[in-house]
Amino acid sequence: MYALGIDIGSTATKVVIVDDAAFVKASAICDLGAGTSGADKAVADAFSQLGIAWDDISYTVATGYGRQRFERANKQVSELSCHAKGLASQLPQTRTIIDIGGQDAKALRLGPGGMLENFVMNEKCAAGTGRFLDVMARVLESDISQLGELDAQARVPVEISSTCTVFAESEVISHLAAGESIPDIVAGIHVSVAKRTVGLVRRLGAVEGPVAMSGGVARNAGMVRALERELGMEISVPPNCQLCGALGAALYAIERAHRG
Amino acid sequence: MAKSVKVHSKARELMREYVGDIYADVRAAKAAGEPVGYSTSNFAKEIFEVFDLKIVYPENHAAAVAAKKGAVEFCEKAEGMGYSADLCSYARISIGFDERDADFGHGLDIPAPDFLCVGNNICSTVNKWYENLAWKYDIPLLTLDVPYGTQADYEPEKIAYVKSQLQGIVDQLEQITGKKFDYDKFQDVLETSGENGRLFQEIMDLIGQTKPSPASAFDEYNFMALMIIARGRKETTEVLKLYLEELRERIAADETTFPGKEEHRIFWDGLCCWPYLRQNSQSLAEKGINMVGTPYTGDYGIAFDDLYGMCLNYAGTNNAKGLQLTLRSRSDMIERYQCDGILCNVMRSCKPWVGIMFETQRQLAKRHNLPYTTFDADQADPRVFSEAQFETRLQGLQEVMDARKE
Amino acid sequence: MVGIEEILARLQEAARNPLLAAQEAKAQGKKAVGCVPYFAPMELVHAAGMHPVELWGGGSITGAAGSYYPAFYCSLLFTLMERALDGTYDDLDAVIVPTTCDGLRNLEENWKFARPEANIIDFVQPMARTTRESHDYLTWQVRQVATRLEEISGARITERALRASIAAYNEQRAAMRRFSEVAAQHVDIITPQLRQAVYASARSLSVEEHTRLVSRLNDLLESRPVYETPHLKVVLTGILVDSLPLLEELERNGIVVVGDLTVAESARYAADVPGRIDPFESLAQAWADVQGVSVALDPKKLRGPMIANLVRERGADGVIDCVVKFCEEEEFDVPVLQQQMAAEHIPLLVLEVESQDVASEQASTRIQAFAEMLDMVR
Repeated sequence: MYALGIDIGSTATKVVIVDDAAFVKASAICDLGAGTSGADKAVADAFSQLGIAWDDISYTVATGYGRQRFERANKQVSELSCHAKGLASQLPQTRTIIDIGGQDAKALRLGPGGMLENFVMNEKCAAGTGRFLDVMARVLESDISQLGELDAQARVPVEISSTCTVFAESEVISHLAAGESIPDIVAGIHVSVAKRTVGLVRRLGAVEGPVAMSGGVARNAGMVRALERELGMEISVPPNCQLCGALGAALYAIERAHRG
Repeated sequence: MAKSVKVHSKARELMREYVGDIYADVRAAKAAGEPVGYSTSNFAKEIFEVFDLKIVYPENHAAAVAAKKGAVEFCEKAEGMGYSADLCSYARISIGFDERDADFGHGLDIPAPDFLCVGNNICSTVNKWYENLAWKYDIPLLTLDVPYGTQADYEPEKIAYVKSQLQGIVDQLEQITGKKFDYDKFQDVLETSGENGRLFQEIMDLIGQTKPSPASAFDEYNFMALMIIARGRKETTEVLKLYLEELRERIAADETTFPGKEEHRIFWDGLCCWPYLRQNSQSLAEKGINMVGTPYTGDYGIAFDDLYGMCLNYAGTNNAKGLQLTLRSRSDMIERYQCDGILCNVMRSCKPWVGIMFETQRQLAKRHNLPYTTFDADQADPRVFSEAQFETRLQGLQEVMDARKE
Repeated sequence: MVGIEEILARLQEAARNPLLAAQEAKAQGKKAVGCVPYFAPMELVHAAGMHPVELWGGGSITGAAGSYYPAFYCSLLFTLMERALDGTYDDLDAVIVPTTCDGLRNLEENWKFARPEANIIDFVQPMARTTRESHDYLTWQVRQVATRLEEISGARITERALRASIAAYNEQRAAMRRFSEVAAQHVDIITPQLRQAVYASARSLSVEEHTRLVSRLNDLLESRPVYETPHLKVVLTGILVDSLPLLEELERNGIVVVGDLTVAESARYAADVPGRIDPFESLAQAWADVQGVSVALDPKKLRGPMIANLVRERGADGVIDCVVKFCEEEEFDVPVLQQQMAAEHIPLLVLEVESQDVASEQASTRIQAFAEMLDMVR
């Protein structure tokens, strides 16, 4: 018996399939988000790894931005609960999770056993979200996946003072025009996002460790370092950070399947 | 054309001496067991003077913290406590500062308040800000309630209501301080305060009405602090008179402290942008644009010699006035100061001002046939300003004013 | 005899068409006067023989109000300005605009300039509410408003008429207080959306019709056995919770509403207008009696304790604070409410809401996660 978790985000779709004993058997990521063929592609990819089909899946949980429009789902669970569950299964001691997604940034507080105790999400603007990083990467003519490496080469991060995405973009352009190095600008961008994010985390009250980070942005080592500095705490990142939400969804799915 | 000069102003030096270290005074008072209050900038401050109370004006203090580059840190602190980034930056800085983990330094560390005085004549935001402070410290909240001026003229009933509250404020402060109020001293303070309002107006008029101006309205900001914290003192009178003399000397010598060539004269609507004050004033000067009038300082130029006049003064503050009264005072300034354009600071976190700014500008532009432009900024939060945008907009205004001159 | 369904149908109709009853009144030759929040003296309009209708904006945003306000402006006031500009309120004979907050002050002024032909009656309540001086001042303001209304209606507001109007509104207040309790016991029928309709219809229907319908609804509900719900129970707080997609989202997540401390709903019915020798003074006193809302000065921050009491009384699982986007009054209350609820171990969800019917993906995620959290706590 298999159970499937699917996390349909705004920019990518992630799938995890677990077996009876909640072991991960297959996973797939497709860089297409909600409203695209990303979900079908990611599912097909995961199925092909095991040579199975929908008939072999006894329960499916969908999460993420596009969860409500995934018709195969037996149940939808919010990405907050899924990230909490997925991450806690890998790093069980975690008390605080930071997740920076394409549309929003979240901070989660977990109780013992990975139970979601409280959460906060960013306000209306794009500042401090994955979208902000995307916009800046485009201005720098860099790929979002290179930001971590570029950050590592930085000497003195530039100061990005604007929180507004449009204003920050013009600041980045003037730094470029002033001849600042791309690594220094990238590091400055990371500091700016980190400040916003840590402000969000503090809304949960005094930050309790251990702290972990989930979501695709956690692959950006420069971002993680900037967050650690701003927070003054170490941040763990699980190996498949981008899959945390899908993993949590799969774990919910197998629990449901067992309950019948 | 007046010659630009850099002068050492005796008036400013004297002002610094008199203002002294107000925050050190507040700390000393607290240490001596005296009650310390926090007050909004346009409360009935004459009463404080009579009691010789040591008062912190958090807006003023927040601007000082912002000037010392503390704005972002404390805004972020407040935002981390759940205060929305949309709220007044003075409030966020002050609230964040109040929760600081370590001394800030720069002489700006202040003790916690023992009582609070809130006047809603500058906005209703302060009601909420002070409400939260009153709750946090569980201390008395004194109110000066100034009803919004919705008509073409001040309504006597509203002013009478303002006046009727003063005795209650005195009574409460007698209780808080354990001191008797000296009514004769009050009469002196009131008259001094009214006279200082007159002198401050004279300064603004000298800067505004003289063409070319002997200074820039940016210079008025220096003396505004005195009008906030020491309006009812004789020392303030002395400083203002000295500065007036200096301005007259400048005019006689055909000199100006405006560091540019005065090609255009503009009216600045909105508060100033404290974190970029230098950048803003330099950018204007480079383009030969002199800011000769602003309603921000205009708040402090009202003269009076009796109680009713004092109350009228507190009903005449910027955000206490509706559009008709606002247009009356703005029009008067624009006309007398011979302005060629209007520059508006669309302050991200001062909604009461910005909420009638667009209609105000439309009406003013129509009445005076003046070009105007807006830029996005804030009074104290440096994170919502773009130098590139400011430059572009200002240059646009300059080009329109140039074209009109030809 | 009308049944529950018919009553709810009429209330829903009135809730979805805020100006419907005003139009009906006008068709019968009555004048109609708009009352903008917060706490406008509707009794005065009623006593002047006119039909009062509360205006809460809503509807779509075309951007017209953008020439008056920046993008970061209170969304409730933004939509009110949009409706003022697009002519939705043109048939009203006058509009009373209170000025409890900066945004309302701006609205009152902008409206006067944007629509010079509209009769805008400003109602400037005092910030200080509990002193003799503020009481006397407000009594004068009430009389000012009365005079303007008399000019419009052409009839004098007599003391007898005003006393009768106050009595009619107090009867409605009592019916609505009872409804709040009864609705919590019958959430199988009174869903979040229907509950909202009962409150929202009070803004448009005549006080007599609304009171009659709600009283009858109360009787019918009470004749049924109390429904013990298995669902998650929440208390709402804020200025208003009018967004239907948001209420739908609550329903989708198995959440029922068992009480509220919301300005547009229960808060305005909490206390009767007290009797006074001078009925105009009664209306002034009513403002002093308002408790636990962000728009009336509250240095003791009683809103938190009042919500906590309501949560205990109604056995709620948590609280949802619906903060109108860019409303400073509400935003200032958030950090305090968070502390107060945490101290009482009451789960709190803060949601940003708009007065339009916009569905927000973020809101839907937050509500779902909150429901999941409450479920686990249970």
